[in-house]
Amino acid sequence: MANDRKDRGSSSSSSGSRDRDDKREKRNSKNPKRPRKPKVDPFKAGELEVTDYHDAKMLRRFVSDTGKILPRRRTGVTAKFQRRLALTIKRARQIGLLPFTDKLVRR
Amino acid sequence: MVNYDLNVLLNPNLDAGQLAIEKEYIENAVKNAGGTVTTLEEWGNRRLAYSIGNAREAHFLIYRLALAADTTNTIQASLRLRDHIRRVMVVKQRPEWASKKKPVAA
Repeated sequence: MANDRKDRGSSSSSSGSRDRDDKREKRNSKNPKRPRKPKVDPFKAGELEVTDYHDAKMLRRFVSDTGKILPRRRTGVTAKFQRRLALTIKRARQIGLLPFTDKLVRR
Repeated sequence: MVNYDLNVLLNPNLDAGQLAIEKEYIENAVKNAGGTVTTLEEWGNRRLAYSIGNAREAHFLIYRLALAADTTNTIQASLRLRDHIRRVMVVKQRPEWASKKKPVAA
């Protein structure tokens, strides 16, 4: 029993250190040798319409292969438009234009 | 009066006569609630991202309505009683939320 607990304890601490390593990598990646191109919010730029829940092709850009809404740190959408985008994606799901979930297809 | 979108998904295997009956029923439901249909967009049969009512397709009808604010639920409830109507969604139009810039006339 005691051994078990010790094992569990050690495993959790190791995962904690892994998290820390990830964070360190992220911190380093913030200042890479090649600077990252700043992302542009297509809604803020006025290129796309956030409230158009019928445009499934446009919304696919903001949804992962498995159907999840992508975080704005990946798509570059501003907080205001991310909130509205989430609502339009959910509406498109309701009328069957977007999937709630999709199976991951390995290529 | 508020502007709404009324999205209706119908059984994809309807013939023209049945389709006309369903459309008339929908328009009557709107009229009975004191609303008016401004435009009707008919997409026809369209593939769905997941199956609804054991069909991977549905016949899409998109109505733009002007309605009193508290009547949407009665319309939806009456439409959902129909067998051929697979899904109903009413959405309030929010033009103030639009992000797309209108092309400036030169």
